[in-house]
Amino acid sequence: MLARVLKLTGRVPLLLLAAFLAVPLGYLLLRALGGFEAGRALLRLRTLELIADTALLALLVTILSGIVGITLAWLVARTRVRFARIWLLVLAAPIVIPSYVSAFALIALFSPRGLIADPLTLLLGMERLPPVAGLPATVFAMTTICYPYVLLPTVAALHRTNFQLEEASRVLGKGQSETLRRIIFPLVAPSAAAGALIVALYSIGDFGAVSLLDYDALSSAIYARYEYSLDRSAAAWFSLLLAAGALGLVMLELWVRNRRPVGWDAAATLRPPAPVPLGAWTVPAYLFMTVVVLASLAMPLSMLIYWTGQGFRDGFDAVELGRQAGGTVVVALAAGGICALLAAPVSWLRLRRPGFLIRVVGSLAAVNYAIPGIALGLSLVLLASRWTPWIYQSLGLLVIAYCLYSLPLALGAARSSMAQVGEQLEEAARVLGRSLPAALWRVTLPLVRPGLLAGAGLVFLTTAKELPITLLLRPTGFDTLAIEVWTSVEAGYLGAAGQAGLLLVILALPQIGLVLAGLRR
Amino acid sequence: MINASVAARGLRKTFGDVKVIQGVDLTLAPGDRLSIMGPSGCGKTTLLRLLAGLERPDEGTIEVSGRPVAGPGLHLAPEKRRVVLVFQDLALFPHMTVTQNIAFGLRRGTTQGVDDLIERVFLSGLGGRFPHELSGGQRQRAAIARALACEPELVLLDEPFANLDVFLRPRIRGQVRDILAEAGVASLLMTHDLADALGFSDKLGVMIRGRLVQSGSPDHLYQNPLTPEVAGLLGNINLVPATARGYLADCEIGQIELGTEFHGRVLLALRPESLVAGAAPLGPARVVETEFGGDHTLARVQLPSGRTLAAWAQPGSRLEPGSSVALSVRGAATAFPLV
Repeated sequence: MLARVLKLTGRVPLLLLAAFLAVPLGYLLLRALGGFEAGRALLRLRTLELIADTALLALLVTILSGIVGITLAWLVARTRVRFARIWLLVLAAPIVIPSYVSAFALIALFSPRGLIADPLTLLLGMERLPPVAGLPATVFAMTTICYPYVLLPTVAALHRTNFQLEEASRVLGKGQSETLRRIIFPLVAPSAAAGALIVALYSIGDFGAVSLLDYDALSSAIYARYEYSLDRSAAAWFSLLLAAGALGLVMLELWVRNRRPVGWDAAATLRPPAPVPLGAWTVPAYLFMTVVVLASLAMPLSMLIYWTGQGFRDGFDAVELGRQAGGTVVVALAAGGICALLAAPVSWLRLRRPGFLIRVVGSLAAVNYAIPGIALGLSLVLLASRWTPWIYQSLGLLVIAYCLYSLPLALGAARSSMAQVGEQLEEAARVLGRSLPAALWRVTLPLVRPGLLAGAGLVFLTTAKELPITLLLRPTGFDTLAIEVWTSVEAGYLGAAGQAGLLLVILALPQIGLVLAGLRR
Repeated sequence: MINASVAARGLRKTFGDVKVIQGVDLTLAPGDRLSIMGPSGCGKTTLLRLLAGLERPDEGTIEVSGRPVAGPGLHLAPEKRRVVLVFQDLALFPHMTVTQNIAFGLRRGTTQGVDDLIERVFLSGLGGRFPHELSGGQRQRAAIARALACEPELVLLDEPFANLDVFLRPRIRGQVRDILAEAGVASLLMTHDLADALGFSDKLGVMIRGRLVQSGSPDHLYQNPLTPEVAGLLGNINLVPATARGYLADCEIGQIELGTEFHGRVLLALRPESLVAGAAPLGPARVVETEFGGDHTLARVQLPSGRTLAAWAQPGSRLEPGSSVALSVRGAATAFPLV
């Protein structure tokens, strides 16, 4: 009887956690259904236009990122490109640049206030340059930071496919290009496609670049409805649409990733095939890689550095910048710490005491990560302002939102390190006379600590760069570096934006290390 | 004269400073089946990769059906050689069905040919399956069918039975042998397993440290090994130093008859079955352990010098660890000059 009660009460924390994780999507649904009239009002041409424009942006960014990412992956992994590892590092680096910094770089260079505005007006014979905005600019800003999501998994897949399959194709009488087309590409395609779907997910939900470059997509429409409209149910409806699209893409990604044929990869002991000579394609190949690096890495970095210098000339406010950096670090550390603390017991239960409830917790966490930040933030801001005004506009709510958003990052890292600690080690400690808590404390925890720290690091980096949730939920007067970049660009203060952006990118640099560590595995 | 299916002369290949292949000559006529045996690391796989065109020899020439495919300044791409390689782990394409895998190799693209091949390798009805849905033996036969589909002049097999269940091996080996024999194509099997080699062909080669040391019928190699290593690869062997005087040699066991004439220091190779241990209370050797082997009992005996030899117990004599025995030699021994 007591055991039964204990077993049931043991489930209470998990039930609470599941309920907590279900809040964002749940409240969005409630609110949207409650504002049914607003929903009806959305059945207009304008809504369809918004959806079409969002899809168009995602489609173009995905296709371009796919082409760029797959081509670069092939060049770096399989051809006689010199210094391939260094190229890969430099080509993957733009993954750390937030979309609003990418947009800032375009504006800082080409806009009427931009660096080359004067020579450009002379060259084009114009009175004044048009503002940098619209579809082409947004596609450019997004593609330059999104292609690494295709590049990295494709390189990993090219390194891991069974090389002997290529040799088998050759001895069966098929040449280099037919082998590429019929063997290598089909085997690598699921990895590349999964990467491309991540790009699609990222671009339908992006708020930073879309809003700064004045492109009308669902995310910017949600923000506009929230800020300037009296009936916020419209924003809830848009958010729900966006969340549905995102979840659809995630399902598709899972499905595609599981489409890899059994036995596509090989023992690492096989010698990789000789790199393919580029021949007449040598010059175009290097030219292509150089152009990509210039556009996606050199341009944003040089713009950040140049405008940082301009910012110093315009009067540098170290106190203000310090306050924003401090705010960023404090909330990011808090989110990272809480997520790691939650991840340890949840991932332990997931592996050692698998069951329905724990699976639900895992899935709900994954759903929150898939929902674009603007939609998740909107749900919480609507909820708090109506039902829990005592935490509305508090740092606590902001940190809770970050945790809801990025818990799966910590869960994933904790789980993979937990999986390496066999259950046998815990059992060995039990047999040697330790209680379960003592075994966990003395054996399991020290072994999974690196995984928990890595998870906390991922959450920290994501939170530090996060924009839309911060914008919606921050207390008045609280600023982060991301907010500073965004508001300064909106207001036209490129110097201030450059300084905050540079600091942010420097803060995010360790992410490159994480990316490369992932590649080595 | 009919062109040989494959003729390789003076092949050499070095990786870094490791001489993997050190002068290999090899000729196979159409329909020939040859097994090459050797310890792991002797260069078997490299030799196959040279023949298939997956590696380029440092020296030497290769001709396929009279057409040069490798030599000084010449390296024909693997897809142009009509030499097909069946890999150790088969390398069936995981994203294609059995039918698609076989059709991939097809030179003249007709599905008729595929159905015919599927039937020939006893895979009827399994054409729609993916490789991971087949058993080990079925995968083996699918790989053979795919190799035959491209109408090769030569089929190379790299330890193709190594990953199979011990109980399945003999049967699948026989099936593969029969399929290749029926196809009438020259084939070369590499293995480190004597049973695989003997079960596949009646011609055997032995490869040691990058050289094809000896080849011929298994029986000939067993009886007349050219080196102690060849003798050891083909079965259990005792090596005993001796002094030869013509057709006789003196060693710890006594005076032993030689198959060929020698003078001076030699190493005698004695098979356990030609060394008989009989119980003798005053015998010089002692039994260390015995092992019942069905039709014979193997006795490990220690000589006064401390050397241990493997011998067959004389039928009818009961040997136990510690009992004294006398050794006698049946027939003539093989000797290798000591240098």
